[in-house]
Amino acid sequence: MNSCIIRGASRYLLPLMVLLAVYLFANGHYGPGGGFVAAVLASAAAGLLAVAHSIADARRVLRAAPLSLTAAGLCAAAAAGLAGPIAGKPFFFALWTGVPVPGFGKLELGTPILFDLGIALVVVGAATSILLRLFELEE
Amino acid sequence: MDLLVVLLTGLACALILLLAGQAGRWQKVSPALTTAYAAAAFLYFVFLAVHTPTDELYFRMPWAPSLGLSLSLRLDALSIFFCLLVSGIGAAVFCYTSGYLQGEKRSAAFHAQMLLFMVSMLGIVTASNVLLLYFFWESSTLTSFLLIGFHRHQRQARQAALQALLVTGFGGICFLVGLVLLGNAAHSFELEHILAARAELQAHPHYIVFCALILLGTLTKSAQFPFHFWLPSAMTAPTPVSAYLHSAAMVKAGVYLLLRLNPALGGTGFWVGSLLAAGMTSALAGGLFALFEDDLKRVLAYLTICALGLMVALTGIGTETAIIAAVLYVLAHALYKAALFLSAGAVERSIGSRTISELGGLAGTLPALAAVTALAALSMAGFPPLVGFTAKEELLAAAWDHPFRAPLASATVAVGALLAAGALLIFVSPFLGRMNTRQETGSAPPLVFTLPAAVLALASLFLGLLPDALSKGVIKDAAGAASGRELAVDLQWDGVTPAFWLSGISLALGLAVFRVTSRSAETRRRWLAATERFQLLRIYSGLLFLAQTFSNLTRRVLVRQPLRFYLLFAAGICAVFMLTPLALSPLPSLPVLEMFTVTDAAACAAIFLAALMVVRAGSAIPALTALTVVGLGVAWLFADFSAPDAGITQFGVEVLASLMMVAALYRIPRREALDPEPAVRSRDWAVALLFGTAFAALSFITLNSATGRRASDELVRAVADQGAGTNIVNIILTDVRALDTLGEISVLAASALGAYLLLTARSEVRP
Repeated sequence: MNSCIIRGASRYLLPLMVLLAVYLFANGHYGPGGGFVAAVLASAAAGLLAVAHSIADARRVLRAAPLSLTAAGLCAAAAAGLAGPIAGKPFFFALWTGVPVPGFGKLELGTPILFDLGIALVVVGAATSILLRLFELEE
Repeated sequence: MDLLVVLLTGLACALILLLAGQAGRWQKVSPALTTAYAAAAFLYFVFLAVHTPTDELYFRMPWAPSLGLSLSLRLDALSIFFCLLVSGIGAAVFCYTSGYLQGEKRSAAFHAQMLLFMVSMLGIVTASNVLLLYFFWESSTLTSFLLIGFHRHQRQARQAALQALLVTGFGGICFLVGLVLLGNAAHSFELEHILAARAELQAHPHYIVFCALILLGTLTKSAQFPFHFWLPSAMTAPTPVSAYLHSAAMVKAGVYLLLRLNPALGGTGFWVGSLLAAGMTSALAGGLFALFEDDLKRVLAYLTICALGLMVALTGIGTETAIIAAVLYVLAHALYKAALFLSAGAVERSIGSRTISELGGLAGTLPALAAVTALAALSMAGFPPLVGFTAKEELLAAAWDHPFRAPLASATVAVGALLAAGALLIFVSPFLGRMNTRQETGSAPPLVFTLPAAVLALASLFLGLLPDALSKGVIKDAAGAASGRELAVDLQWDGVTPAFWLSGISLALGLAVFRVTSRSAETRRRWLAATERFQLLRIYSGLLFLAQTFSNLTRRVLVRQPLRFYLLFAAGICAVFMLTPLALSPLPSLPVLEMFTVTDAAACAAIFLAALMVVRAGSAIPALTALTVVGLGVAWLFADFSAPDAGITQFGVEVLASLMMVAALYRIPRREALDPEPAVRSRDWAVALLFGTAFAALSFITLNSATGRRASDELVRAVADQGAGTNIVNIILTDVRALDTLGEISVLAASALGAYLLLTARSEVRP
């Protein structure tokens, strides 16, 4: 779309949206947010990029085919579940480790975070594949 | 534990090939990887067979204790025997595939699928829990479907794959029901308990039911009459697939299961009778049909059905000699059939045709292949000193020693004659005789084609020359495991016994049959056409046609345009079902909400007005915008009533959905469809009002009947115990109820795939 308003606005909006998406994902376990919302926001950002610039740009930013992202998300989610049996616990048992970060204390990482990442990838892949395809049909 | 490592390594290799298969360099690595894995597995099993003769490797891990399912793997002699077969022949076939699939773009995927199949087979023969066995059974069915339909652009391949899937899948479902009944009767799903509960099982009132269902599963898998028709159709698969799946591995799974369950279920009249009937019918029918076919691979397919029928019948007979003969025949058949398939594929590669009537006199151009085929064919016919002869002697001895000597012995001699005739058909017609002027003169195939086939054929020779190695080794223990007691096996040639005479008679008969049937290809074609009418394939095609007609009919009745129809029905029925009980109870009063503020009232007003605008809008885009306002208003309410997570999610989904809908609706031309006639309008209004009233009433009643206990209390407790964070919603989604979320994102992925395909389908033209 050839609108300089949208293009100018997207120059400011897009970094904010992506940052907010990352923040929502990272803070998902402790405050409002989580994988799904972050993914929806990221997909909306991809849509905005496609409208403001071009669909090819949006696809390039995604780096992988959208449906491959979906598949990777499903694999991550399944892997998060299988971590339990490998450690001798039931399926989907949450395993947590604390990674010490100098200056900030401990960073809690665990299989639910991996599962959240899986959800995020699935939603980004699904939404982007449909959205970008719909935009492409318009042209 | 080592056994699990073997299985998991195979899975890992397959995954690697699947994921990395697109890159070009993996095309060369993949056959090396698979051959290395198969060879390593084979050596491992040889090591086990030699060094731990009576010990059993055992691994058990509980998986779903409430279902009785545990990951238990056990390597006893029968399992090691089959593992050796699967891995050894697998190594040969994978080596062959490296040459066969040269230049094929998807060869890495092919190798990955073959590896997955091999792992499934290893799983079937080592599983010690019948539910686990079923899991591997079905995975072998699935991988077989993928492999048969590998050339997915060919319609014939797709049809053959679907046929195999439907027939073996149907058998698989019956198999599952039978296994569940068996497990319930034996009070355990572990094989060791089932095998020890023989008396209890055979006296059980449902014995015939679960026996019949399990037999259905094995008979479909092993292509026995009347479920044999999928095997010849499956010959459209690449030759390595036919050599591995349809001669050495997958079809043997049924025979394995019969041997494995024989100590528990065998010996009764039902077992013996049905196995003998199915086995002998398949053997005779398969052998006969083989002689009518003109395609080299189809002849081999029918001869496989014939041989499997013999094995099934022998397992049914169940005497000591019969079980030994069955196990020995499994070995002999696997070796010679794989060798024959591999050489048939090599002939097709060199000459370009595998139609018997077009081939002739190839012994001059392809001497190595001719020698290999001759060896394997002699083993099939049962000629000394090959291992096929040893197997045939045992087989005839088992038939002779049985009380029903006359019918069994004559049937076995007839089958032997058919096999011998088939062997002559495979060797004499293509390789001896005059060169057919119509064929291209091909060059000798590369070593990678002939070497694996030669190894297998030579193995038939060596094992036949050294019967002691067989009788003191794996055969003895395997047969012992299959019959449930220690056996004394002596495979030395016993001299000129009745079995030897019968053997000679069947060879002579076979020669005569061959002379009669091979007089001309024309006679064979006419006989084939005559039997077309009775082919069971037509029943399958008929059933498939019925199923498709029925689903088309259902679709025409239930699937209607416009899509408004669905919404009308769903909303209407929902409203009726919800309002009828409410109409019978006292009127709910308006709830009092302490938290309701002015801003909330404003949001509600906005929602109401926007909803009104949606209904009154003249075209799609204004209606969509108003709908978005409704969604945003609801998001506001969520956020205001302390559900921030739901609020942001609603907000984000609203934005994304309107983006998608604008893109989709952009192409829909303006029509008057948005303003239908007044009658339709009134009907829509009525249903919508009813629906809204029903939900409003439900909410009022729910809010009024607050019991003081909140659903969130229990969740807060659960999260405080298990979770490691402070966002309850997220913890529930990703931690406490993760399995539900996994199901939800799978559905999301599937629907995205479907939507993407629907949007893409118009731009590609499929053949």
